[in-house]
Amino acid sequence: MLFLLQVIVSGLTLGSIYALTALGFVIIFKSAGVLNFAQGDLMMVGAIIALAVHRTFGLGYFASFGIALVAAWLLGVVLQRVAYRPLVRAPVFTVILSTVAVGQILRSSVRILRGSELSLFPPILSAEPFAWHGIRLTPLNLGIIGICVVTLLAFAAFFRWTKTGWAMRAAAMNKEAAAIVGISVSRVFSVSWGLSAALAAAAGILCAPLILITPDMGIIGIKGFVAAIIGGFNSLPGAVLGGFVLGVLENLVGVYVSSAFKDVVIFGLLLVVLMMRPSGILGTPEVRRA
Amino acid sequence: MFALLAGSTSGPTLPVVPIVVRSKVPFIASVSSNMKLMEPYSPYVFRVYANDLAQTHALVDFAVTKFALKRPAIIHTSNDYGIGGYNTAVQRLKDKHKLDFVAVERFNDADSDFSAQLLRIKQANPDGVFVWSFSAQGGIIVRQAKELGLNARLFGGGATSTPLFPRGAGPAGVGFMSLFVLPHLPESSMAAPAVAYREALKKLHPNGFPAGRPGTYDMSGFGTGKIAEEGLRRAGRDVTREKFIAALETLKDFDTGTTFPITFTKGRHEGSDRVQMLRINANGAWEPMPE
Repeated sequence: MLFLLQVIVSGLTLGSIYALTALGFVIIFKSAGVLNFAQGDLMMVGAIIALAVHRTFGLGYFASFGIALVAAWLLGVVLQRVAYRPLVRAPVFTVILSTVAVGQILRSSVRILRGSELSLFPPILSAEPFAWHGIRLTPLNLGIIGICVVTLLAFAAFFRWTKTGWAMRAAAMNKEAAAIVGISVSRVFSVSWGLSAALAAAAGILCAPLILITPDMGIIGIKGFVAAIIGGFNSLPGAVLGGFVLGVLENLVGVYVSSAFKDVVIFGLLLVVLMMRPSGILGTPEVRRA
Repeated sequence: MFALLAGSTSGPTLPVVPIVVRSKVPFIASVSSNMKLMEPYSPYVFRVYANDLAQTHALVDFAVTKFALKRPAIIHTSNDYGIGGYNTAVQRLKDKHKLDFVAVERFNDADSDFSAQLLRIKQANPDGVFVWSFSAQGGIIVRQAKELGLNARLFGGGATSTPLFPRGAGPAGVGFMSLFVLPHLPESSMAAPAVAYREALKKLHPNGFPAGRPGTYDMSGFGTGKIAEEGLRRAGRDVTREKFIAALETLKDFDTGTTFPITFTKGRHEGSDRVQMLRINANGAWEPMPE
């Protein structure tokens, strides 16, 4: 029983990384109606900016973190202006492809600027393990799980109780109608992309001590995407739940079936969810009126 | 092209082989240990450092003999390097030590979490675990092993012994042992070959080294250049590819300074079988272990 609990707890740690990535996907989808496949690469860029600030200016963790968030926000806004706004009337598929292109550009640019060097960003909390009722934990892992939950609550409150949050939801539902009632759709989209990029950067910085900073670290974004689909692409709690489900399931399959089958089962589950419940566990089905 | 030097790990190096063999271009591979590089033997292909077989035999023999392992386990990557390492290790354990792995776990190149594999290994209660991985993932594996309370001795294949590894492993890496296929020359070393290498690199990059340079495996590339230089010198003025190959086959214990002494003969182009055992010390740096 203790062993099973350890498997689940380790899965929750992994799941918290997926959940943070999934939140970024969901936020941009909820507010701009776009699947942003550059989300994983924005994670990587955020972590690299924080590392560069930390190394170059010798600033502490929180200062580097804050500067990286602001930089990522600006990058998100610039990308929205340069790569996505010109495509505002293009089919959604075109916009999605442009996010793939942006991701590739970001990854290649980082390789050009700093090579494929691997780096470690200092953790916000100790990574020294301790035992709690026989289960091994680290303050860092617990901290990431906690931050994930707090982030979820903060964004849920933002979308529910702030004017900007309402405006973002309205713009995602119907751009024209939102504009008619006085919402600056252009401004809302800028905020959405900035917010989503900043969240990706936060996820990247938090995860960096666990998975190392490399130009390819954004590949974890694929699992975040899967988590968002499983949990529900238009649901913030769904994204977090999807991340945790995915992390725990990966570990259970890896331990009790075979580590070689982890991805087979996970992507198999993705297919099942898409066929049986395309809106995900907590997502709401999209209603289209003729 | 007269000859091809260097390369980067077995993955991208192996596809080059059929092309150079077909074109009869001499190829001195500086960073590849996969057995397939020399199978079948080609008069045009040369290898600078110990192949997988020599590396794995050395590591398995060292770990089992020195630490009296009875219940070894292995975690390996699913690419050519990891599968090759596993196959050779399991054979050596059976043939020489009459042992078998109590747990065998594999992972994919893109994986960044290994807790499932490590928990399965922990369940098997091993007394030693071989980590057959590239250094970035190897570092994470060692850190997660400690987090999960896997207290067996940990040994790494040759690809873990780079400066990147201790960064990923952090304090959990202290005591980790690995083999290395080149003489231990840290980038900051003041040993003559390392200084010469840095000077040569400075000429190429007067405004500062690119990120991640100089790298450990650069030394092997530098040594490969010296081997080619010596081959050309011995081949004489009217050099042809055939004369160049013949000249390389006369190298006996040729000291490049950055590789182990190189010996090539007609029919055997494996330059060296030597390896060195390294360990991460309390300062988080690699250090040679006493022979």
